[in-house]
Amino acid sequence: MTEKIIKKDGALRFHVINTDKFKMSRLSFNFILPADKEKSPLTRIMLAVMMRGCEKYPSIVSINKRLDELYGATVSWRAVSVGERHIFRISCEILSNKYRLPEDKTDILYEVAKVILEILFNPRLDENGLLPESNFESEKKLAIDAIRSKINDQKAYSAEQCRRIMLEGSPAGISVEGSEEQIEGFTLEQVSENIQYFLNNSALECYYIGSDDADAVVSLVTDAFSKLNRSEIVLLGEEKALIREENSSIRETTKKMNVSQGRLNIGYTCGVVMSDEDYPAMNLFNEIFGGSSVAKLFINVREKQSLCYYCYSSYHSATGTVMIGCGIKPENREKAYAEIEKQLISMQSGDFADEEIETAKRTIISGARQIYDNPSALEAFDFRRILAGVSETSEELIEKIKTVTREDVVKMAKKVRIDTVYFLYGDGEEDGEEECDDE
Amino acid sequence: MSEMISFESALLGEKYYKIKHNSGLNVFVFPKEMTTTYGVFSVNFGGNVNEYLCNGERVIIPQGCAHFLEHKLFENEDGSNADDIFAYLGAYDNAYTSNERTAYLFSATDRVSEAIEQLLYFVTHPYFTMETVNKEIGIIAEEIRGCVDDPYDRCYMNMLGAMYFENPVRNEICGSEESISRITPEILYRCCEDFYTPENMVLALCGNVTPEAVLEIVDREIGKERRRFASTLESFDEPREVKCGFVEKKMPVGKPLFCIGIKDCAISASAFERYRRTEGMNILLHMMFSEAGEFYLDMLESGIVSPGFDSGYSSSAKTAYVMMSGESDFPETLLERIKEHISKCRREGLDRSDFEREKRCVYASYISDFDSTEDIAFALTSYAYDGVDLFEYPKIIESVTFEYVCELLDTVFDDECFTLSVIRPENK
Repeated sequence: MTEKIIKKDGALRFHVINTDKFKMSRLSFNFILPADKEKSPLTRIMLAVMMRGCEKYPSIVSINKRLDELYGATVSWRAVSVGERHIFRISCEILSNKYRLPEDKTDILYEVAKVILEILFNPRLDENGLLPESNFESEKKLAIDAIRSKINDQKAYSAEQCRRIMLEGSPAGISVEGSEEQIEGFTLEQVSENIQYFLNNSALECYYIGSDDADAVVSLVTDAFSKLNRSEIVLLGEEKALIREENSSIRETTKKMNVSQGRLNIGYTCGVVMSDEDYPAMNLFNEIFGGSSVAKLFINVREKQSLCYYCYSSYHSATGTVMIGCGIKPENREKAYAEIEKQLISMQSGDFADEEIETAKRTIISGARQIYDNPSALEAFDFRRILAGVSETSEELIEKIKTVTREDVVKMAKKVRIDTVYFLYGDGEEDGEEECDDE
Repeated sequence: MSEMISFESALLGEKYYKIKHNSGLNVFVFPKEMTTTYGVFSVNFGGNVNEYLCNGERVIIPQGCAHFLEHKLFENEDGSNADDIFAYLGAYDNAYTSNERTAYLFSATDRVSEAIEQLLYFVTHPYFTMETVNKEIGIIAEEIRGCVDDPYDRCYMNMLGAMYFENPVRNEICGSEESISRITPEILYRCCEDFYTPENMVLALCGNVTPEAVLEIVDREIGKERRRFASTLESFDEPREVKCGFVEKKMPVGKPLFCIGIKDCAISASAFERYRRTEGMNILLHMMFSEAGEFYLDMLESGIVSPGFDSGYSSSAKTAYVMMSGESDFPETLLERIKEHISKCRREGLDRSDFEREKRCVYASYISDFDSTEDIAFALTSYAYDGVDLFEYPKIIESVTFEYVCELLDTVFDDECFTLSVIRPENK
């Protein structure tokens, strides 16, 4: 496996990782912008409209037809928030040229990259520089629908509500999706004008991971961006942990919905972000506390007390928070809450076996090794560290994990402070028996 | 002696070994240079089984037994738990129960032999008591409640319930709170006895493994003695038409969800034929309904469907259907438009270049399955139960011709085979 980084200007880098391990390769574009309450949701809609068609491929169907000709290459996009930044990612899964059908000489990777550049640089604009209105209206509606549909997945919904309440008022709490009212208010002019802002002001980290020669694609992409008026963008500053005043009270929210299972989510601050020295130890703490099916929370809340089907904790290194989620019978709320608190206290007093530390270390190490089996995991590991301003390989992380001691873990447990509690519940009664009409 | 055969693919540059072990166990070993080794140990026993014959005796078990058993096998007689042991090895373990099968799996980057040993051990050493069984009832009841609250799961299960009269695929894999309360240690032991015999099981491994090393572990853990597998499932007669054409339920959802099912009762006894039909149907569905087709664009632009509209064909030895699912404010209209579109395609014929393009995608998608040891281990497992060689698949794809796809268009999609399941928001 060889890796090289091609740096074009202060804000565009192309990471090429050549390896023969995979039959499919990955090409991705990570556009990075600061979290912005107004601009981020606007950029999200803009990208959605742009992905619906460009000058050369005017509709989603013509784009997809072209991709199907290129052996069903998949192109997907996402907008995600990582701490105080929003990432707009376009990623492609592409068949390696080696597996082309006999007689076919197409450079699949190059052709897919051309499609992406068409979408980004030659959008469908009318004489007034506006994107197609019908696509804009349609994407607005879809974005609103997507916000409304979040309650369909109550596990994710309640976790997100807890996170939202906890981070409210901090840049890390800015939603990349925006609110329904906000999206309603966007105009076609705003969205169309945003294209230039987006291309000129995003930091861009591109990745190619696969077995093909990517030189031509690197030139194609970097040349296209060097024609723009891009500013020197410095976005990769420090990540900041959420800090709450010493004596602030717990934020509690309860929501009733017509569901049979209750969802209890608890947010904790821990003050440790990825660039902190304590990062490996905080990872280890989380693994022992609620990161797996042998963790304290799973064993005690689920196995010993049979209170729930799932109970996990996750450590968010961009905000310095630890989030817990569990699915319980509504009447067990207090019991589950008490048991979770009890487990945290036991971690703080060092009540865990050396074997638990060793087991957690092996699990994290195994996970860090596995990134080499999956191009998107490999990219995610590297890109996450770029955002945090950390240079660390998975081997280096493994070495640091190995040196974490019991005292370190206890120290981490003591940093963890309860902050926000969110409880979603129903009356436990199932109603609305399905109706079956014979036709 | 155990018999070993190897299979090679020049196209993929890959090779695997199939071993019929003395005990009757079917073992598949796919060496691959990856960091992660993946192992799947599975049994041909799943949520579909509520009734079976064993040595002439008819046995009826509560719904949800296979899934319950899956949970309980992780506990060992000495009080240890397989999860702890795998975690100690730095490995990850899990299990799934589907309608047809139960699969136990691990992934490991280190100490692979020990992980294989543990996998074989815990699955073949049941230990249950009244106390451990009763405790599990609470946990599974929560899992069932979670499924009951999941609108996607409800929409899908309602579709199956509306589509089938007899086919046990309409039953809940987890059972109900009532049915699992009737499960006892005796019933679970009996299921192990009657189904968990080597002949009825498959071990598939992919990654840092050799057939010789695996064989040695299997000899030790499973033993060389052959045990007879004597259970047969009850057959059922499933009418051609659906049970009912429409089912709806109100739940807290943001926007109506739908699953359209199209029942296909023409299920061949030959696995090759079934696979061929599956690929033919998938190509056909893509030609008519994918995001690269005019129909999708029309529905999207007229606001009838949202992105994420999906169609696919699912088939096994006893069950086959087309499913289209997604979100829509107008599911009934969508169903009408789908039927009209099918009639239009029948009338005007399909486009050969669309066919060629979709076939190319199917070919690429087959190749893409060989980038993950997990995907390979699961593919080996499902092909094993059907008795098809994984590397034979390009031949199956090749056998799907334009004429065959046209024939499918004319023969599937009868009016009486459609059902629509909708989950609607509560306050509308």
